[in-house]
Amino acid sequence: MNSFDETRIVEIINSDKLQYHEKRANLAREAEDLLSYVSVSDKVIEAMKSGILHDMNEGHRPYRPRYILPDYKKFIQQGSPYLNLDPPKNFYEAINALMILYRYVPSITGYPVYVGQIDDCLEPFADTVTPLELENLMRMLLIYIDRTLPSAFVHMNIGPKDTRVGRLVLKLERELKKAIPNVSLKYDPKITPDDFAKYAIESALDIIKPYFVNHGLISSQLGENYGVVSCYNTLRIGGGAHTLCRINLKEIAKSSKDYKDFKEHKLKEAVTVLAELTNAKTKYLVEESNFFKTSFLATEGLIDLKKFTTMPAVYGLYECVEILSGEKMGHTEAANGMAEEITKLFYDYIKSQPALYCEGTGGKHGVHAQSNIETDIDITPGVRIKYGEEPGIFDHIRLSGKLHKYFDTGCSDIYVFEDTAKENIDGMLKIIKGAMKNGIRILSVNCESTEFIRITGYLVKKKDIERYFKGESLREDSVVLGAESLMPGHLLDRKVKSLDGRIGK
Amino acid sequence: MDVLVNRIIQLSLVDGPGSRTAIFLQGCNMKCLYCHNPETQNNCNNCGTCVANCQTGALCFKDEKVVFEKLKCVDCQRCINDCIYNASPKLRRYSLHELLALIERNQDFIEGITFSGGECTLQHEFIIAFSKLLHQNTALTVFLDTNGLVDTDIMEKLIAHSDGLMIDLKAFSNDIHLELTRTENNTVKQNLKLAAKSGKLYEVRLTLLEGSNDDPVELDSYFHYIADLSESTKLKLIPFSPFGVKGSYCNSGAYPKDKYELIMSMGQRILKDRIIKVCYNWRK
Repeated sequence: MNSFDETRIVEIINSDKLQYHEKRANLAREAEDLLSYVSVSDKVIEAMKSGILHDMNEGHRPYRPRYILPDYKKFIQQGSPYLNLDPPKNFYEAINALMILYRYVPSITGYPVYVGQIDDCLEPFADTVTPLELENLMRMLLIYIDRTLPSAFVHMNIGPKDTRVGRLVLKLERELKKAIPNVSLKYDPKITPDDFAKYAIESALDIIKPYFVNHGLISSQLGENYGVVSCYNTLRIGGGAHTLCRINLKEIAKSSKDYKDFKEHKLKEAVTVLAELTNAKTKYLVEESNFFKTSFLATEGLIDLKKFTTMPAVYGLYECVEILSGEKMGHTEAANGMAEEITKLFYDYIKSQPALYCEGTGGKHGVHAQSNIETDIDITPGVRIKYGEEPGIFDHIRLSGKLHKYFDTGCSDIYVFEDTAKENIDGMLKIIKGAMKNGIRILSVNCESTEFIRITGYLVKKKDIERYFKGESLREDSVVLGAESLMPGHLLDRKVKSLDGRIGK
Repeated sequence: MDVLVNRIIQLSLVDGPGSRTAIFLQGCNMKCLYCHNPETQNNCNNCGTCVANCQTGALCFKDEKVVFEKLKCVDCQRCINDCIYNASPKLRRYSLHELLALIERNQDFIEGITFSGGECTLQHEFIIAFSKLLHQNTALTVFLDTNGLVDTDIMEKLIAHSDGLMIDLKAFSNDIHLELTRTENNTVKQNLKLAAKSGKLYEVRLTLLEGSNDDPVELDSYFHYIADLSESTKLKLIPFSPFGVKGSYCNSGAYPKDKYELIMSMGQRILKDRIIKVCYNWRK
């Protein structure tokens, strides 16, 4: 056991800033970290100290998976003995059941990162109430989620089918204008009617929600029963991710003699320690913490270990390419070629490493592009292009489309448009269709003037960031992360697409 | 055959229906006092002012001609702002097949292209040849954004080979048109009729200039003229913005929002939903 620092505990208990539930979460974390780190080799410790490997501050002894995607549809169909709930018979009971279960779904944040494929869960009950009741109940659910699960990593899914429930989510989110929950629309031009897609685009240009998700691409990798959770992570429903650790490609490039050394030695070594750390945490979680033995989610079949995986990740590809080639990703063929080669190498290396409890992605590790945390400075998220350095939108999409396919557990792009986009929804739909066709996995489209900002994948209100910097106590802890991210990450420098200031001739 | 291009905007959402690549051709036959793209008006005369002022070495002289190196340019716009001839040193010529290759690459993302300018119809032979080529090779549409000042027989050919037209009528009264553009509007009106008759007139565009073309009597005539042009002709009403303007209007402020709203409602009474409001950020 690590040495016991009484002052830290007293600071938390006596804090005049923290709410009760925040004190409790902090105390739990302090207790966890009193224990020694999960068993790893010296190489892992060295790589963490040098900044090449990062454990995302997940804690010393994982006792719940980082991300969990309960099978809410199954829950609606079978009820829950543990919660003493029969299968719901009408819309009221269905909503009530969901609201109860949400309180029992853990994650790394303490709040559920996934609140379900809400149209699949609730549309079957839509005829049990009047249209007005349906709208009022959906409003109640969305307000409940925002107020009781105050974390912008809480993520709701709709689509690809057009449903009353799906439309209501968009309509009410535009009315309520709040950051939580994040919303993703699974989009498939063969299934999603243009009319519904355009309704979603209007919403995105107003409140950034929903994300547009390439249903065809992701279904081909994970099957149709996947969810988009937390920022933009794609995982199987009924499964989740045990852990997410990442390697810093910029640091690896800096430690390499040249590109050959990077490819043949340094990247391989980094991937080896990344896999070791990932496996060590996963092994502890599954075999020591007994989560899957004790959780009623597991015993009642709402989650299944066989659908889980891990999410070893990269970040800082932009700087990595800049260091190794002297050129800018997105701007020269050589830099783009190198970006694609490094991405593919990482994919090949990590997929060939031993992987524990990764049946959710075919027994091999999931692959992820991680989009930074609030303490990262001078490094670009995942495999994105540095903010302010983005090329023209079509070149940007073409490059991203080549990279996204490698990240079976998540990768996304954010495109900011001028407000004139709001008057040309047909044009926006064409761009989204083109982006999907060119391999973009998940994309966010939004206008400059929106009152929200997408940080990595999650949203915060610009006003709440101002309130945070004024020192006000806020309900959403993700606002803190977002506000701190705004300083080093230069999110506000994102280049506006369609650089067309003309109003008339 | 080639075409002189000022610039190409790969994605434009304001130059016709849907998502389009806008190709701004060089050269214009009007000299509008409020021109928003004055650098598209004339050809470079190689005076060299911009070469001397370029901070990044993107411009230099070769055989007494100004040469532009795109990779060194940081888009500071200094050369454009310094040019007293309303030209640009960054022009480029494209052959039919060069332009086709560039457009074909974007096919997944766009509904079509729009030739704008400058005045695109000055290079009508290229436009017609290129439209034939594009239609043969792709499903993309070709739209023209024009001031309408072109011989009617050429306009007929352009209509035949394009999919849609946006035509500016900068003032209804000839006097105001003359004062604003140094040209008369008779030909423009003839071409508007031709385009309306063909069914390809996508919209007419009017930029409102305070104290010039926004007199209620003038606008009443304008709106009724559009209403009579065809049953479906649309009018896009654009408030003046000083962005990019070099002429005598460069010091004028943006068109007042309250006046714009008033004129919109006046237009709506006559044109109903055929008058289109533009999204404009008055804070700019």
